[in-house]
Amino acid sequence: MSPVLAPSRPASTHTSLLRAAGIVKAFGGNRALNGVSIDVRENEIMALVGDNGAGKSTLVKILSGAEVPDEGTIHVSGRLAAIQNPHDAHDLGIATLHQHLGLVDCFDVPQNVFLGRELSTRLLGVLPVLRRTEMLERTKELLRELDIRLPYLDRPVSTMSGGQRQAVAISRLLLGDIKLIIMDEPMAALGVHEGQKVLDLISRLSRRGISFLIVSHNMEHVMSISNRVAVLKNGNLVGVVPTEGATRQDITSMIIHGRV
Amino acid sequence: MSEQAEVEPRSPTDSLRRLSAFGRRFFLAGGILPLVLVIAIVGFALAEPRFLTYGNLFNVARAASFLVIVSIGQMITLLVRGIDMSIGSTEALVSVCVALVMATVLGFDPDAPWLAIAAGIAAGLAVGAVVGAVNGIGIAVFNVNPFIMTVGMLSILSGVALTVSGGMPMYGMPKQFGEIFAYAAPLGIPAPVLFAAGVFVIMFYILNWTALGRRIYALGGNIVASRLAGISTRLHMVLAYVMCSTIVAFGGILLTARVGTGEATLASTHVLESITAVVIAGVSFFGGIGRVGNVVLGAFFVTLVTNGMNLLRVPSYQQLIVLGCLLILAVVIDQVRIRMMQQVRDE
Ligand SMILES: Nc1ncnc2c1ncn2[C@@H]1O[C@H](COP(=O)(O)OP(=O)(O)OP(=O)(O)O)[C@@H](O)[C@H]1O
Ligand SMILES: [Mg+2]
Repeated sequence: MSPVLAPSRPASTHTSLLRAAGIVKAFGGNRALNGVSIDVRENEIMALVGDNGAGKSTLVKILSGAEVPDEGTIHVSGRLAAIQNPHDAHDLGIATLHQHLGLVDCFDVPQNVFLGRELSTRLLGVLPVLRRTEMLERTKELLRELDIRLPYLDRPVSTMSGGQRQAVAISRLLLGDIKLIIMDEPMAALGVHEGQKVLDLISRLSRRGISFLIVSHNMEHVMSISNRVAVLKNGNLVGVVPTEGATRQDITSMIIHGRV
Repeated sequence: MSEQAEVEPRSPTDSLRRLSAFGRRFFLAGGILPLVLVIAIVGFALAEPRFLTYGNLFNVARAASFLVIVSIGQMITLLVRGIDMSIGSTEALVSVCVALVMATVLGFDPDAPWLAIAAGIAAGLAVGAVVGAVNGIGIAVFNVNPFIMTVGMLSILSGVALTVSGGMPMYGMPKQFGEIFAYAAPLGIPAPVLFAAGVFVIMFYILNWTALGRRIYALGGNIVASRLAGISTRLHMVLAYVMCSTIVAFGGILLTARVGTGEATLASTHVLESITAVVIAGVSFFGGIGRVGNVVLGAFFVTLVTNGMNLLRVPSYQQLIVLGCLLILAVVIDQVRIRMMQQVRDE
């Protein structure tokens, strides 16, 4: 797959990047997802909207390997993918920003960026040893690439502001060969300025050919950034509509009434 | 502790503020340990001149090494936001098993002391690993609260140790065991100190320089984030308890060598003392925070206090009161530290 250089709002290629079909997930008797099918194309930004409890986060967790579906299949780039855990998803090029960020508060920036993916070398061919300097350098590189500025990298992220923590969580996403970034309410806890910065970052990355699936409650953001909008209600997919040609009222009505 | 009022930078206030900011960062990083260590040493030295003699410090170092080892084990459980209340009875069971295996092997072949020693040590470490696995599986797989799980194990293990030994000291270990593992002093350094140093070096390496160590810290810091980052949290939780109990078992083996018999009542004070040492060392009850170097100092401090009280002829009953106060104080200070960390974040 070659990354496509595209104009500011990427013209998606209609090739399927990730196709989930008939996803069912129940927690006890509560069916959070009731046979949802969704198709994220190469080089597109898809928004995922719906009321509280519609099942958005559950779908995100399944696509990112944090939960395993009861039924349904997932294809990535046309190939059947068995996503059993977060590593599987990452190996397939899917990186996820979860609703609660997933940072370890008492860790510093490089430790958080490389959480679960630490770089090691073998001393004298036997003893595994962390490559701390390299992890620090690559963290700096990532932040520079994303144009993210942090006052310091060597202190616990618990001492940082909400926006800075968000930045750390986002920089984590770009580690490795990533084709799809899933974000669960990335702008929710941010001020106007910080939120705009995240939106800019998303457009910048999408111009590099990375696809996005973004959960958001903010209609303005959804309308300004996405190519298509998928609407969930009570664990069912109401429909998927192109953002151009739809109005905010159309989408709000889908969310509330569950009809196109 | 200073208020962090927003004063305009004027020079006296400013330098004072910078000093208090430095003090605060120091406190946040290492707890109160450096301060209390100095206070204890100066205080005891003033009250009892014998305290600072080479002979006494040699004794303190040797006595401290057992607590250093088990406290390093205890630290691992606190790092993963747990606790091990069963370390004393783990040591007791290890002691009984080591004595039993050594005496049995010597019974078959009285001329094979080294085989007996090797078999005994292997058995002791294996007992430790099994105890840790049981604790870890109970906590990580069956979601038993760590305190409850290990208090249950405390009762079970000491019951087994008492049953096996019949409540009597167990004799019959080869004399080389004590000679090498307790009383040897190459270059004038007591053997237990060398073994404690070895445990420290290995654990320092694992905790600070391997992915396994990072993940143990991560688990205590945020278990949900660890899982989402693809870390197999159950496996690492079990591993943490296995590491703890194996290290504790090693401490029990050394203590058995020192005592010279298998004892089902060995090390009953170690639970309280190790928790005190570890918390004073700045290892947080809330997981994810703590340095193994500080734990060594913490265990040294607790031993120092006991030794100082002995020199000052404080009756052992009252020593219990002091140790209990110390533990509670250490936990209170841990809470203050956590609150201050949140303050730093809110600023
Ligand atoms: N681990 C869980 N155990 C039990 N029920 C769950 C669990 N996770 C989600 N649910 C239920 O599944 C349904 C969908 O939840 P989900 O978190 O996916 O909603 P959401 O669309 O992300 O909502 P929000 O906008 O509030 O984040 C809800 O009814 C929720 O209570
Ligand atoms: Mg949600």
